[in-house]
Amino acid sequence: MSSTASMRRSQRHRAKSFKSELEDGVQATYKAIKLKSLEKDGRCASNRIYGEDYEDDGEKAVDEVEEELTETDSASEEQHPKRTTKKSARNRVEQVSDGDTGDAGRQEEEEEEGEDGVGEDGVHGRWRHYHSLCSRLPGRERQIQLLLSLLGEPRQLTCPALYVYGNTSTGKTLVLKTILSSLQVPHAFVNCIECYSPKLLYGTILAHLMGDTSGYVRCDSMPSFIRSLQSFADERTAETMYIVLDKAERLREMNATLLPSLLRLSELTHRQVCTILVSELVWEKLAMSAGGLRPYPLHFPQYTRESDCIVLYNSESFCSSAANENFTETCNMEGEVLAIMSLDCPEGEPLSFYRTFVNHVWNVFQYVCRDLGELRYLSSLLYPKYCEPVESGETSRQETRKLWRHIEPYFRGVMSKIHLREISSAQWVKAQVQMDSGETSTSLAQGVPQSKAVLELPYFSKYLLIASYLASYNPSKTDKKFFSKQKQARTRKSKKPRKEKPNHQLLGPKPFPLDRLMAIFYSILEEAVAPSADIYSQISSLVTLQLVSQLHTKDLLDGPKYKCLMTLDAVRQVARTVGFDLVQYLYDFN
Amino acid sequence: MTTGAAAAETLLRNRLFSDLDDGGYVPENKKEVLGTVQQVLERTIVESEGNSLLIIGPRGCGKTWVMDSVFRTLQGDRRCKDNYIRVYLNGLVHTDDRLALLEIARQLNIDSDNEEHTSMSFSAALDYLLAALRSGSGANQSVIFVLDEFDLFASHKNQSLLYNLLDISQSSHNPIAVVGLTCRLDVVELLEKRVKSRFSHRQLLLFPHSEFRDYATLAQSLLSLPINFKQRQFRHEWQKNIQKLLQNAKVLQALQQQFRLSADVRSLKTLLLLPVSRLSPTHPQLAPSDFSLSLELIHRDSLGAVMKGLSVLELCLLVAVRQISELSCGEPFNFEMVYCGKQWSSLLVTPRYGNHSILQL
Repeated sequence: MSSTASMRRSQRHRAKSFKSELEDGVQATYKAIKLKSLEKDGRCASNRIYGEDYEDDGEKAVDEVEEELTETDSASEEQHPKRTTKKSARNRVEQVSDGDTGDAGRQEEEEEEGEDGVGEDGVHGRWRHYHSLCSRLPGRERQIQLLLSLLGEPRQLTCPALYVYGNTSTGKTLVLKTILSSLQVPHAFVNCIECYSPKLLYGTILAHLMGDTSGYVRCDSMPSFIRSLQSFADERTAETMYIVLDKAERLREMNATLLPSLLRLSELTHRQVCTILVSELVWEKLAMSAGGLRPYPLHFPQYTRESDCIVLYNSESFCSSAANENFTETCNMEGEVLAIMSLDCPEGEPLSFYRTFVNHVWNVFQYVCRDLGELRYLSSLLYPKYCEPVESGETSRQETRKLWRHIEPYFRGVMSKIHLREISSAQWVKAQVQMDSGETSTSLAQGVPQSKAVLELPYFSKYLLIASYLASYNPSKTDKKFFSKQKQARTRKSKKPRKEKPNHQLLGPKPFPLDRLMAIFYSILEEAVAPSADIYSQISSLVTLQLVSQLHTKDLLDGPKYKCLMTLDAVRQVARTVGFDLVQYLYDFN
Repeated sequence: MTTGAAAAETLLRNRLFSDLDDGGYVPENKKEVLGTVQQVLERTIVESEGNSLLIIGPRGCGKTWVMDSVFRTLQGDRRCKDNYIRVYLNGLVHTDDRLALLEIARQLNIDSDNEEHTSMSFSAALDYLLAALRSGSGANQSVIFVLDEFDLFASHKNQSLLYNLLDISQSSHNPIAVVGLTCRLDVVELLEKRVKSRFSHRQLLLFPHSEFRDYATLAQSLLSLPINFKQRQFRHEWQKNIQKLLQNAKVLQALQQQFRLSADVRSLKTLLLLPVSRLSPTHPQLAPSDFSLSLELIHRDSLGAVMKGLSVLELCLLVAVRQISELSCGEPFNFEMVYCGKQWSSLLVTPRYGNHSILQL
């Protein structure tokens, strides 16, 4: 009795936890898939390009331009360390922004003019960054404009809380980072996944604001956090402090009073503080834990096709170089996305050629994935393949149709593996080389073959494992049907029409008591064995091998409960070694 | 002209983002509450009478503003000016009695260095503070405790802080007044019996504006420039423009829509935020379009906006989830069930033009 009850309980719990995940939107589940695949192959993380990379690149580019700007003024001390660390990336960024240098130069001039025109009091200060910001962040002009108006001059009061939301990789963090660093106001950028407790959060925010190199200042509670902010504001700056909290949805889980008090920081400190929350969720999901205060919402829409970047294209005068009319038509469509993705153009490659390629990538993958980070990863992965025929001299760069025919199968192969990243990009390249050299091992992006290692276990352990799998995936009321020796009843029953039932394979393993495991074990084992300490010790060794997990029951009167952790395929392999037909005994297959 | 716009922007920003400057307009419905609070506090300060009261009202209707303006008038009063100490506690920040005690000690400037306080045990600190508060007589400076988010203090263990504060306010030691601000109507029911019996049961209710006329007047007063504004010419033009704006159908519609959604002061300030922020030398006067833009930004269908950014495949998954959640009638289901389910696979085999039709949505 109690076993079924607890089974149901845990099942409900599991399902509930998943449901909450679903509520957080489809992106969240996609993230989960991504995470799962990362866990599978965690070692290769170094070679991957994450979504954040885009932002990093942007930051580098920002630093670059900023350096140019500050060189004319007085070079600020903060940027010197960055200069040395980011030297390696600089060449590339310079290459990237090559197309815009003419533009940038003009803008700089404009800026200087603007400064002169503004006059000595610098009233118009923040807007002089507007043009350079827009050229650095294509497709986000409207958001930049809104943010600049809302934030105001450094010394003016700002709205106490902002809520920035939008899909993955729509440039939320990047835009905020760029704006705040070009305005040169005191700000703290904190990721709420990294800072998982209020203490860490306070400490990191303070460290960022004060420019502490250790990255953490000890601060235990909200009152002392507020006092430190006050003293910082009094001693160091008269400008508004900005606290940006990325992945703000995590704040809900920390502490009931944390989010409301963060939103009220300016009221609580009586200083100029602005809290900016960044999240992928809509505000309604956070509103319950925010204590009635509603920050000013700001939406970052997905990058789209309609934009003024078409003008940019025509000015590039590359359309004439394209022999294919068809090509010029298609590439005029996607403005923002292409503008951003072509920032990745590798060193020494003609920009228009790269654009054609990126255009192909977008046209093929846009229905499956609009995450720019992922698309950029794919294009960096596939571009060398695309260039192959050109490098070997088979085709020229103008023959886009031939190139397309060459790359199409690769696209198709990658399509089903999007977001999964089963293998690292280094492994992928290796697999390609192997394939080209004639080895028929893996097909494109198929992933490394799963380890074929068969589990070597004692004879009884194998049976125990099978029994535990059966106990986990069969409902306990069907035990009679499978394991009782009266065969007739079973055949008669199976002919009855069945109604729609949940698939137990999909529901995951359910816990079972030890008694049931032993009953099934004796039922499937042909020979008679005495229940000895030997058998029981094998169960505990299965638990230590993490093939079966023991659940902790609060109720001491209940016996221990277990759950099978093996997948169907693995258990089938084990069953095959002892000549046992597993499927015949599984509820879902009968 | 240029500096006029900038100065106006700074001034209006101060008004919108802090309670310090309110444009000098006191709404009708708050006058009574203001008067009562002021009277009670004056009696505490001048006549050394212990008092306690609660101000209850929905969020954003001006409870903190009431306290601020009362303290401003007290500052202006000769009898009261230097005769009181104000202690401000917030239930969100001071989440237990220990933190609250430390904060009280800090704000009262009880002399002993901070280190000692933090190492003190809770009961020692309480004893110390109570002794300090009880030692005086009626001739002492009075202490006014403002407890924001009063309901959260009721959740502290044993409500010992509330008990002691209210107890002192009843006895004739140091004159203290306890003012609680809360948005919970049933807050008195949260108090323990011994605490409740020490509370004076003086409750003041604050309501948001009930009539649109008041709301519009408030908007006007929030946007008006003060009479001593430096640029005379600019002020003149500005005021004329404000008058005109409040006759404008577009602006009135925006105000009315916001008023119907929530009539409190905070919502009005949120609406005015963007128009004021957009002021610049090239755009020195408020325009009707600013108001409608602001309204659109605040009340955008955020979920729809996020969904528009999904790719077709992701939308398909969402549709499958929706279908399964309808089929399962509230029964829990997991990702595997969606992923292997019929709904999901049927969406995937739809011909390509079908996908396009989904995209159009």
